[in-house]
Amino acid sequence: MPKTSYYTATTLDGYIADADNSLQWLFEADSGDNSEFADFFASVGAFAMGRTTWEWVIDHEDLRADPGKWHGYYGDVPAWVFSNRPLEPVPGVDARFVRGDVRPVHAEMTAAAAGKDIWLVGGGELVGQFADAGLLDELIVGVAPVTLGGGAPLLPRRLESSRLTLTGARQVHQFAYLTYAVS
Amino acid sequence: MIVVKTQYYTATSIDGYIADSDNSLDWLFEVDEGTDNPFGAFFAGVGAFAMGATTYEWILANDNLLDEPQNWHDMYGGVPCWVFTHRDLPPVPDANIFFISGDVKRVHEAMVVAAQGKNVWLVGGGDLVGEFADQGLLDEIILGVAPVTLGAGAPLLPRHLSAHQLALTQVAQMGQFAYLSYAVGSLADFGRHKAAEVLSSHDPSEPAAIIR
Repeated sequence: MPKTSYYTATTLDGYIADADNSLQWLFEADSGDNSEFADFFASVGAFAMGRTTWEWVIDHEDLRADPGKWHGYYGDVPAWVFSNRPLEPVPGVDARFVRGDVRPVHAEMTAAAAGKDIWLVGGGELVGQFADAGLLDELIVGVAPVTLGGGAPLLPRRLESSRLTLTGARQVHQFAYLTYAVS
Repeated sequence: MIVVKTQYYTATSIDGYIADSDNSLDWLFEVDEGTDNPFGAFFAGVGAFAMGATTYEWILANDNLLDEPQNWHDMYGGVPCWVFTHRDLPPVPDANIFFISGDVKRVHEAMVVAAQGKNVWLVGGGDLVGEFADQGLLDEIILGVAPVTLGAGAPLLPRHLSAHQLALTQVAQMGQFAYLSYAVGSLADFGRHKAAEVLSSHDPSEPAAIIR
């Protein structure tokens, strides 16, 4: 059964980006060779993100100048980008721009993933909409050794322990990987 | 080498809140702790502890301490407690509690002396712990992460501490809690492996040299 997973790095106080929408704090933390993500992404058949995350990836990686980088990271796995306003496509990047209800998009992603898993990249509010619709199966957080005191929230929802089950906790270099099943 | 540590030991949600918006911990008490809650072993190493007024008032009400002061002694014995407050708060009868306000540095010196070689525990809240961190007085953070997101509430630690200031020293699962331990500040600067070694070597039954 394919899973829909929110896989993300976070600070130990629950922020996925700082108040300036930067991830500099994250790159200062020792993550080793980042093989955790490679292992995770190997099972992913479709992924989704919000507009802010998309714009960060495009700008940070300078993909408009070098769109081939996208393929290097994500291969041929299709991406869905939720945005309430029009976004400019990047040539060679398989991203579909969508808006509104996450449920029909999730059905479309599930079909495209053809038995593989769905990755929700973020941000927190978009993932919250999937959780609200009962479409979030797993939460995998790589906790960086950082507190920010403010920024973009990990998951701005109340999910109590009746809905979350800790299934794994382990250290990989300076990151603590915590995995939860969501019901 | 033995180090007297000032430790922030607390439960938190995955998204970094120590209490919800109603200042409640009901979400926490529903969580399966497993068979051995590590708090007892932790508190055995504590010689002095401090908390803010909100935390103190929460404990007063939750444990009905004004009517049943024995509950305080059952939890904390005679270990001295400092409560930071700008208000007049009712004392727990016959408990070893000091009400103070102002600079954490001066209070911390008194706590270290009173702790007699044992550790100093910062209970919370987040801003009080932040004041200790601002002064370079925080050595270790131990978090019991509950399988809960709250989306809002009282922040764990409203400060920016970078990866240069924090070193992850341990990850453990107990029941439904994930315990994460971090060396802070100068201990983090020791290097990751050295920090882990030092933090795991402290036997509170032995006399300690105070490094400050």
